[in-house]
Order: sequence, then structure tokens, then C-alpha cells
Amino acid sequence: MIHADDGSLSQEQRLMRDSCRAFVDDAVTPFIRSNWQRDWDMSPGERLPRSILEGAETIGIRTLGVPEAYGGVDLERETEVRTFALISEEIARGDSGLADKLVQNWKVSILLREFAPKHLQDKWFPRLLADPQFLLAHCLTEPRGASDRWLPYNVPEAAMHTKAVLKDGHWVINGRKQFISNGFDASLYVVYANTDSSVGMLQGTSSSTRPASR
Amino acid sequence: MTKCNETMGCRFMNNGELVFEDCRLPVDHLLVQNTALGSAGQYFRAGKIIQAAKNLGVGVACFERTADYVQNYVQGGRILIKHQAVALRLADMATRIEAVRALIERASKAVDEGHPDMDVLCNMAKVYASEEIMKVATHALELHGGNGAMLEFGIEKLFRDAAIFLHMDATVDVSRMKIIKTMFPATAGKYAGPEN
Repeated sequence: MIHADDGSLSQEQRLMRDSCRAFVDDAVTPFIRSNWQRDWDMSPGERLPRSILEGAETIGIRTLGVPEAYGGVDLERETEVRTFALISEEIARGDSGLADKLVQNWKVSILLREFAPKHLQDKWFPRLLADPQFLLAHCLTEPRGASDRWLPYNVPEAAMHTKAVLKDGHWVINGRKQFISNGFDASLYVVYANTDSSVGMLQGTSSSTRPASR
Repeated sequence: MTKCNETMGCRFMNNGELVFEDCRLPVDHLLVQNTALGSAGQYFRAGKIIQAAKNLGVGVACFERTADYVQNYVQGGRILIKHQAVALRLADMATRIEAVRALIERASKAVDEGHPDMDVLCNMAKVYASEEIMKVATHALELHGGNGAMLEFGIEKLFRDAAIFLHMDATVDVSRMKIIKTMFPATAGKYAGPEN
């Protein structure tokens, strides 16, 4: 009871769940329990020791969603979401903030896998793989709209305020994104912006990659 | 990046703010033009499931810590779990966790299989997990008595972490609106406009 074990898990799922649980029991929970003050460290970059993400790397869960061709871990596609759920639960059992960090990497990796042109995948996947501290972020939320954007109807008034316009061979972006997970320390951002204010949000929003400016 | 937000929970993930002022990007940095939000459906659905699953992990941690505590901590001459009021709360925690797990399993299977109900189910899993695990965390806090309020005990951290899920990746109310708009597209999902 309590833990996931309905007898239907594949061998891959069982192995991943078990290695996540061992990582949490051996490394994450002991750190969280004996360093509770770190939760309140006001130097955000210092809160989580580098060894924790290195540990996630060691058990192979930091780069889920990155195609195997780039050295990542491709989960079985037909049960991919279920497997993500199992792993997310196990990591959050140790620390939900750590799970948030990793989850953004997986979700944005899937986006890049599905939509990024080859030259961007060639550029960013190797960097993500090379550095255990490399984080990805996904920028949707704005000061004047987040999940509530889906409540009005698909009309121009509900569009994002951040705008991107084509000018001299470049996209020029103006706007503000807030409450972005991994927003403080990501190395690469996927940014959503309005590119056609005459139509609804579903027809007039574009996404692009933006390297961190650090 | 303009600042790191200091949040009440999930504090080992650093949430930030970004400002773009005439930020120039080469045209080939584009992922999807104009239809990016529709294309990201795969991301959004998996995202709701993952959100619910992380939330469940917090609930499991609450249960494990509390089950251990009430079977070892002695109060009123006996271990806590032998006080029936305590035992009932622990049973309630376990029941809520199992219900959340069942919905997550159904919803994640639906998304994996591309079932027509997947949009409704993944939002249901997300919103249900957030409210149920908040109740689980509240039981954990209360069953720990004074220790539940102490930072060094770590239970209040689970409570703070659970609270974040009520609005992360959509608020409770917006999630419910999405569910009903998807279930009844011809009425709730139809542009209301003036009703005459």
C-alpha cells in the first residue's frame, strides 16, 4: 500500500522507480533532514549542493527526454507519461523542489526533441548532457496572465503581452515573464511570445529558444 | 533574469522573473511559429500528470513520516496510534493517497494511449491531487502536535511544499473550469457573448 505497485509496471519502470527511491533514501532525504536551514538560505544558488544534481545524473534521470542519439535516456514511448509520473513521485518524496528542477529539464527536452530544428538540438543537447548543473526553463506566465488565459475564449484580447516581431533578420522580443520555474538559474529558456495580435492565442503565439544572458 | 522569487515551498527549485527589452534572437532560434501553444499539448498534458505525481510524492512523504511518528511517540501512556482519533486520521491520509494514485494512473494511461478523455483526466488528476494532498499534509502537521510546527522537524516543510501545488501549473479554479469547458464544449465551452 501507499507506494506505486499495482503489478502492471514494466521492468524498465520498476528499475527506474527503485533507483530513484534508493537515491532519495541515500542522498536526498538525509540532506534535507539534516540541513533544514538550507531551505532558508537567501543565496538561492547555494541552497542545493551540486552533489544532488550530480547524483540525479548518476542514476540517469537528469536527461530524460533527450534522444538516445544525443546520449540521453529515451523512455519507452508508449508508457512514457506513466514512467515520468512514477519518477516524479519518487523524487518529490525526497524533495519537491528538486523534482521541479528536474521536471523542467525533461519537459523542455521533449519540446526540443519534438520541435527544435536539428541545429538547435545539435547545439543544446550536448551542453545539457555535459553539465549536471545545466537547467532548462519554460516561460509562459506573465504578470497579467497565466493559467487564467485559458478561461476567456480564443480571442485576440486574451493573447500574451510579450511580443516578438521580425526585424532585420532577427526576432525582437519585448515583455516580461514571471513565476518561471528554474527561471533564476536555467541556462536555456523556451520563451512564448505573441507574433500575431489579430488572432487568438492558439493561432498567434510562437516559441523560441533564448540562452541565458549570464 | 531580474530576480529570484523567494517562495513559501518547493524552495530548492529557484523561481525567477525575466524581462525582455528589445531582446534580439536569430530567426533560426524559432521552435514553432504562431501555433506554439497548440503544439505544446504534448508538453502540457504530461505536465499536468507530472505535477500531480510530484504532489503525490509529497503526500507519501507525509504519510511515511507520520506513520513512523505515531507508532513510536508515546503520549498519554501509549504510542499515539493506539489513540483511536490518531488512527482514524492516519487511515484518512492513506485513503486519500490511494485515491489520488488511482486517478493519476488512469489519467497517465489515458495520455499515453491518446484516449479522447485525456485532457479532462489530466486536469482532474492535477486538481484532485492538490486538494487531497493538502489535507494529507494538514493531518501530518496536526498529528505531529507541536513538533509539526518546528522547522527542524521537517513536517512544516512538507506542508509548505504541498501548498504550492494548489496553484502551480494552474490554480484549482482554473483547472476546474478547463475540465467543465472540455466536458461540455457546446455550452460551457462556447463563447458566451451577449445572451440577449
